[in-house]
Amino acid sequence: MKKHIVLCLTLFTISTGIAQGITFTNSSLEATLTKASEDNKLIFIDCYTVWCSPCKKLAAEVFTQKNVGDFYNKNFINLKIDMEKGEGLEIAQYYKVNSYPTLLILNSEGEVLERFGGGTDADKMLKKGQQALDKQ
Amino acid sequence: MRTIPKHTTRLFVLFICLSFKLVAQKVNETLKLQVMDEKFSITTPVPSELDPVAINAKLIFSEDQKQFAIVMKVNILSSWHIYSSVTKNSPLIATKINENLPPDTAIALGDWIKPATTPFNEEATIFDGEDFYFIRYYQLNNGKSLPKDTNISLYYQACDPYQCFPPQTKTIQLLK
Repeated sequence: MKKHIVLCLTLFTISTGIAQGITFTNSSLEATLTKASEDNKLIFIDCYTVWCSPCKKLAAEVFTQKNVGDFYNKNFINLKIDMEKGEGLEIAQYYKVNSYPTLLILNSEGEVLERFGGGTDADKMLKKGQQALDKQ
Repeated sequence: MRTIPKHTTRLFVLFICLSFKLVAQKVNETLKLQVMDEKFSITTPVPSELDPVAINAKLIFSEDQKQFAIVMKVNILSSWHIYSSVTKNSPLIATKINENLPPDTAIALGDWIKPATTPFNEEATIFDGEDFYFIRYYQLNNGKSLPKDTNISLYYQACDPYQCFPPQTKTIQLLK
């Protein structure tokens, strides 16, 4: 029994260590807007495409950082949407996304509070996130 | 008397025909020199952060008007690139050139002569930098001339290290 508890604790420690960084939900934007209104949170959207190398770099090198994950998971509902598939097509048109990556922070009404993109590092992510919270 | 086997005769005739065709389709050396010289007179718009890939193109005819070259000049803003080749399953988008020429008008004398590429990653090589050229030579079919709407298009997807623009096509009318 003792062995099992130790094993579980070890696995838990490892999994929490790996799962640092931004956690993205799989919901639609419409469902997320409703949830954001209920939870009084803002929405962060990573607008990406599969052929965008800088998008992959941003996801691998910035979204995975612990301080970025902690801040965004606490304050935002995070969505990652391919702008060439499903609702992404409509979102790209509505929010006039013309280059990738484009990062949007919306309020629960769907209004853009912050918009930023290429060349984003952890500091810029945190700064833009805080600016959006200040506008809320 | 020994007779020549039939198939040998046929092979000989085929060889002669092919040889004639090869001679006929050889690019005129003077045209090549003209292209080397005249390509520098092609000017493009200045590329910008909002439109990092600028192109222009020109038709250059041989003196006897029987052959011509399509020369496309591409000017890419510093730090930007377009993809020249990508691996089979890569989502990256390779550049394509499409010439709008009626098929009975002219015969291409070989494939596009493309500029040197730069390795990008394990999935792709890229074209980057200022002023590089794509060249293709053609033989006009007898009695044919190029239609007014003859044009050439470049389909590409541009990125810099921080952002990418969606794929787009730029078309240049060759007969103005």
